[in-house]
Amino acid sequence: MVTLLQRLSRVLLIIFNFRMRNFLIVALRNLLRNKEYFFINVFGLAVGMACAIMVMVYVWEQSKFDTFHPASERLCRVYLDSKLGGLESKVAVTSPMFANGLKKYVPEIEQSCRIFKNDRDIPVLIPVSTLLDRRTLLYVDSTFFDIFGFKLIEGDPKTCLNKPRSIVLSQSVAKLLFPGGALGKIITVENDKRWTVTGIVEDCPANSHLNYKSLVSISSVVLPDMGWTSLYLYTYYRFKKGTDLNEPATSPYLGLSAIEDKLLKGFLLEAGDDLEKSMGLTIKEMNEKDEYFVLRLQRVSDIHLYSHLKYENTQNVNIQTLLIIAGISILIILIACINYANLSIARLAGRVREIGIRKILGSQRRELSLQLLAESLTISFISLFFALVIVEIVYPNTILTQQIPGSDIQSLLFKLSPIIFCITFFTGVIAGIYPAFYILRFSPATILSHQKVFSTGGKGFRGLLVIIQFVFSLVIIFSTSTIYRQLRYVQQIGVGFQRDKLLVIQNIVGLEGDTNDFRSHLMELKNVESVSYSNAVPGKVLGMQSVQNGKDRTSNLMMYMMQTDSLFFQTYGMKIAQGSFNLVKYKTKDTMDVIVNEEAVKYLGLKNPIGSTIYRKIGDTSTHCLIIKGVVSNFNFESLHTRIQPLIIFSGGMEKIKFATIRFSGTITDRDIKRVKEHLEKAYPKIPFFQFSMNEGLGEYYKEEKSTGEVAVVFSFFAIFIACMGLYSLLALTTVFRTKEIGIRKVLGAGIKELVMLLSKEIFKLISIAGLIALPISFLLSYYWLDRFAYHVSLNLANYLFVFIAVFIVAVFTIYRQLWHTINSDPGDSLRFE
Amino acid sequence: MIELIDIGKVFKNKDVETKALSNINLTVSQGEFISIMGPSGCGKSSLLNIIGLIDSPTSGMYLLNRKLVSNITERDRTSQRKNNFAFIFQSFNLIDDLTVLENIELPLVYQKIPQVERLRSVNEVLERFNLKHRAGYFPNELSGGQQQLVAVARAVIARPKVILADEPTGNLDSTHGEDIIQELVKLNESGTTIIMVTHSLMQAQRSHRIIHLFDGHVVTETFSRSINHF
Ligand SMILES: Nc1ncnc2c1ncn2[C@@H]1O[C@H](COP(=O)(O)OP(=O)(O)OP(=O)(O)O)[C@@H](O)[C@H]1O
Ligand SMILES: [Mg+2]
Repeated sequence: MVTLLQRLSRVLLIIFNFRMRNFLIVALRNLLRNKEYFFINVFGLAVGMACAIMVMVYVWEQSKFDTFHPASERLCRVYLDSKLGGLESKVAVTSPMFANGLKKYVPEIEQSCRIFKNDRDIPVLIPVSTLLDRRTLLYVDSTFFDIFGFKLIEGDPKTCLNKPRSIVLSQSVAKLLFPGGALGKIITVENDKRWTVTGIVEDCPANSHLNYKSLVSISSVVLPDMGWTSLYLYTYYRFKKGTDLNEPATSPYLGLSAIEDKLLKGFLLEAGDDLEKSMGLTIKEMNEKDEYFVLRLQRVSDIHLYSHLKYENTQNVNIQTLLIIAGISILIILIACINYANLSIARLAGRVREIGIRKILGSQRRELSLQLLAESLTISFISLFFALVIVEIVYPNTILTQQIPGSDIQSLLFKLSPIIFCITFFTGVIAGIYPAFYILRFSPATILSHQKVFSTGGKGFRGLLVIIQFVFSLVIIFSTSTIYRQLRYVQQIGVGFQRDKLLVIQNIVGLEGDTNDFRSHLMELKNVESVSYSNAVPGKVLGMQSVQNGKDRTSNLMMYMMQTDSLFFQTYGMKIAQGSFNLVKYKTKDTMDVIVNEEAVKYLGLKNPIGSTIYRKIGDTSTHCLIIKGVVSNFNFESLHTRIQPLIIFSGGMEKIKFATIRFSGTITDRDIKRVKEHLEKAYPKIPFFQFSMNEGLGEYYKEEKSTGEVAVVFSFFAIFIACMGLYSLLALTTVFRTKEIGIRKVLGAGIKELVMLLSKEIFKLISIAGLIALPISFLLSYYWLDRFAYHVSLNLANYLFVFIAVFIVAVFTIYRQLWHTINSDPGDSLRFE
Repeated sequence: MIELIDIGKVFKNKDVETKALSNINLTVSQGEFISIMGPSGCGKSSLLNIIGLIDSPTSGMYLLNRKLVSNITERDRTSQRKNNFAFIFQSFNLIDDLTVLENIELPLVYQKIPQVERLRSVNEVLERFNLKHRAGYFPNELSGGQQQLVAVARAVIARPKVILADEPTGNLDSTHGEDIIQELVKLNESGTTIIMVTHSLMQAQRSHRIIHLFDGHVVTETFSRSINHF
């Protein structure tokens, strides 16, 4: 320890004494002579560190989601984990009975709260005509403000939500609806229901998975079903102080904790019969088949980073993507360091004579390398200054910024300053250590016989540096292009139907039986090709239901169900694989035609699907017999993350219809939408319609992908930029060393053509080697990222080649820019170069 | 063959202007062997560079084979250079990344001579200069004198019309120096024009004519034969 301190102080002494006086003068002259390289070094390191700092802040904020609730370490959400009919599923929603019904079995529960979300937007009539978005309108128990740490600005947190027809508005909504103060005012919603504003809550902080705009007491809504096995709302528990949530159950079962085990036992006591009925088999049979149905807990603060359940409240971030972003930022710093090391070694070679002379004047090799280290540390701290400036300017203007109260960038930077300091220090060390060792390797003799350093095998050494740069550039550019291609792919293609030109009108429940009329109204409009009704559309599909295979009535299968009219397939441009799309609703009272997707055929194990039967229990007594009339080619009705699931489509009565899909003959324009809107408002003044284009709707599924993906792409561009800059400066520098050679060659008779050929051939050789090294690395990295998509772009050599050629062109351009003058001017100038 | 009329050369380095040559008038006919002498920094190398089309003069006219070459394009200069001149530099100017053999071979490569022929010539020259056992060495593995030999070998291999030699014996002991001079004399006898910079009066006397430079001016021209007579 003491020696370490001694050494450190000696280093500092060298930096501030010896180096200051003597070395700094030379160094400054060097820097001024090589302004471009100094700039590239500082700028590269600064941008690299800025990226790393921003990513760090971003990751830090992502990991601090939902930690502001009181007792957040004891605050959990329940979710269901099951494997039924061979299909595993984890769902975030529970039955409304969980919240209070399980308390008597689990005394550790201190408080509970339910959150329910409607599946359609609620039209507001007074004070202004608008829609309350279903995504941000939460129906909650009166315990909401006890459990969660959101600040109520006006109203009483204990009572504001305990009466029916109470609504708590977020500040921004309140301002919008009642600019002159909202508390106590009345909001009239559809069907002339009147809600009283009983509180004003702060806008939902961006670092919460509960993305609310308004909160309504749950007693204001008639919940769809009070059964223990109907799952559609979120249940949160706060446990008593001192409860050990991690304690394993006494008899281990699927890794349940003691508390989870208690919850499950209570659930089975209350709902075992229901469960058996709805599954069509007993718990015992289920266990024998290696299937299960359990309750699990997750900490609310873990949801944002780790939870990827079905029916999540909001899209959570994917830890994998976060890791990739963090990885990229580390890579950026590393590249900046390598840039630095490469440049300083290349420059050292040009300074060998100076070093040789200092050597003669008595400076020690070790001192020389310490100086180099000190130099790189100095530069990295200079860079830190610029990095902080960049962060200050850039960060608040990027998608990275979260609207989190009390988290301005300065205070975050301050909080993270020890880490930032460490990053800077290590950046300096990493950047300087290699040049330092490089100089240590020289014996005094080699330093003086100055040609040896960069010349013998100098070609090989220079080549190595260039290859390293190329490898980094190639890997980064290729990986980024893969991310970019996948994001485009996800947004554009491969969904199994033609998603362009589709406009969906939702909330058409009010139509009642008037559907034919409605259709003919729409068909009158310009550009409208067809109109179809359904109770679900891709991206918004209903749940799964239990069915039995016709051949094996004891089987228990879970399949998705969807109700459409016969025009659905034509409107969506879906392909028929077998049979026909003509559906008859009821042949007899309990027999109907259905269409299944190809996945269902596989799932059911059918060889000749047409005419096969499926049974579906309706309530306790009756069973429907579904006859397969056609098979539709697979289409994505959820997202590209998940494999396509088995699906049954049947033609239903129009009572349950929610969506009308319009296919236009051309790309949908704002004029088209306006025309539809005006037309409908005139024909149905009472129904507030709400429409979205299919493309937009599906886009919602990839919001998280899009935002983290964009972050990744942005940072990768930084990385590419720095890599290119490093490549540029290194090539420029190494070509400077070749100026003389080119002069000699010219004197010996080389023409422009020969010189261009010579340089191109060499750079091609280097980049080819780099290309071979970078290929497996790039493919592995890209594959790791793509792996999480069930459907993804393929990695092919053509793309790689494209990147390769692009990099090659950049490199050749760099070299020629550097050498063009030399090639075209008197060799006399270059021959004097020393 | 070579005619310099009022040639001047000024180097500009930021604010400092250095007059390297002024009012140089010089005619060299084919087959001549000329020595240039003068103190360090008087502009000998600069003059040689201008003659060899490596540098362009800042003033005056340069006629090569009765053609004005002082302001032609770089492309034309390259071909003129290739067809007329070979150089032996004061600082050798060998290419560090190439072996001795490759260095010597280079002028032939740029004259598009087929490989077999090239190798024959290179071997012959290596033999003549006693460099055979160093053929695979890199320049920095050679002594200064050996590098000088390689530079000379590279200059003579393509049988140029004019050889421009900047202190070709500067790094050699007197016997080896004498060998080089012998070689140059032989080449001159077979018709090669030679312009050589030297500090040694002994060597200069082997040539036909000596040009004395001082501070960028031609001071005197002496004919070595007449010196011999003294
Ligand atoms: N690139 C240059 N920039 C500025 N000045 C130069 C340059 N090259 C040569 N000079 C100057 O021109 C003058 C002549 O230089 P030159 O190299 O021709 O001398 P020299 O006679 O060959 O000397 P030496 O016998 O030492 O080789 C010198 O004063 C030198 O400083
Ligand atoms: Mg000279």
